[in-house]
Amino acid sequence: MLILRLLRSFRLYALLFIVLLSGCGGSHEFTATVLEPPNTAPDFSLVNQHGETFQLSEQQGSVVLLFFGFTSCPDICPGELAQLAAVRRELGSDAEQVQVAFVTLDPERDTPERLGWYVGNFDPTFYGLYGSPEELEPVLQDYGVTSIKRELEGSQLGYTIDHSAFLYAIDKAGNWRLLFPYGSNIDDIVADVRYLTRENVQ
Amino acid sequence: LIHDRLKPDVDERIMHMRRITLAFILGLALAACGTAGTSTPITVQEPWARPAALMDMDDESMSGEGEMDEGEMDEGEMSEAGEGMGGMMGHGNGVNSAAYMVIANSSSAPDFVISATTDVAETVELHTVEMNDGVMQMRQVEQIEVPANGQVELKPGGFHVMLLGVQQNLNPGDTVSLTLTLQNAGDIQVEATVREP
Repeated sequence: MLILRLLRSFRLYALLFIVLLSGCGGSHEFTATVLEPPNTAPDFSLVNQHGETFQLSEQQGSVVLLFFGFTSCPDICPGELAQLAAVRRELGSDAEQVQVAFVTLDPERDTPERLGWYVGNFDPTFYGLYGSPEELEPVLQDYGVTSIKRELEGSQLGYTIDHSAFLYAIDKAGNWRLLFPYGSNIDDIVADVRYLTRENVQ
Repeated sequence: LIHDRLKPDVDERIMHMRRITLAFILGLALAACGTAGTSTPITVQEPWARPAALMDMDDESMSGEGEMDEGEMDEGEMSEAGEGMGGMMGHGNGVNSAAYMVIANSSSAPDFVISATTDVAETVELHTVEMNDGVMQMRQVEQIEVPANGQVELKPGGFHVMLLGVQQNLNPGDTVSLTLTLQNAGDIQVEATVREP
């Protein structure tokens, strides 16, 4: 009896929730940090693992998720890429409008091939982006990425890259809209990115 | 005079107490031997390792015109170079992975993980990650403390057992055998399941 009653009240709440949601209409409460007013994402041109030029401004129509890291990284970067692969799976058909791009912070050890191998282990649609230190420097500056090469004495790793670990979301109109801190919840990322994929772009 | 009369009695009492203490210490030592012989105060829960795939140069994603001077290598040489990347390149340029787990210590003394080994990687190191002002800083550590009557969690973004120069594909569902060496408890065998986080 109690279960039935609970079920009934659950149904009521569920209905109420749906009504409230539909009432929201177009607005969406972002979990990520929202950049307002949205500005055109600083453009850059790097090379992907297929040897093709990746020009950010040419990605309009897709939501671009940018993450900066290095392929020798065994902890933070694979964690983030595994999370982004999960985000794309969760998005279902909306994922078709999402392009994940992993930008190297370690042009010394990484190559386009190595980046392709690394990101391909998580999702075949991911891009690994490569550039020379000179090409990368303005990109890091534009996006406020901290990247410091740090020698690790006694470690076989040789050196590591201390780096900021934000996830950048660029909307279909090419505006830099959102900034997710490291460790953001997958469901929150999915909800925010799904909203961006369903926006109408004039 | 009184003093003289009392003295043997006191001596005897001291002797008696010493005997009790000795018996107590012996008993303790024996009990300690007993536990050390059959089990250790260290237990490891939910060990897992990140998947890893060796670089395969025949992969479709490698066929583009990247930075590599493909013209100078025929396909056979490319494949060999690819296999070599399994771990022979050193300085972090191999395939790396990491293992995580919860290590608990039921002893009243802290213990320390001081090293680890595995057959699937060239080198195993202990590392941690600290976040300072949003910057992730990974550092090698000499040891990982397992607090007395407590536990330490090795998890993404924190302490981890780093596998450098992984020699074989680690596919989800595979098992990675690790040997952790603790300062007090000695060697502990760990079977880590390969899985996505």
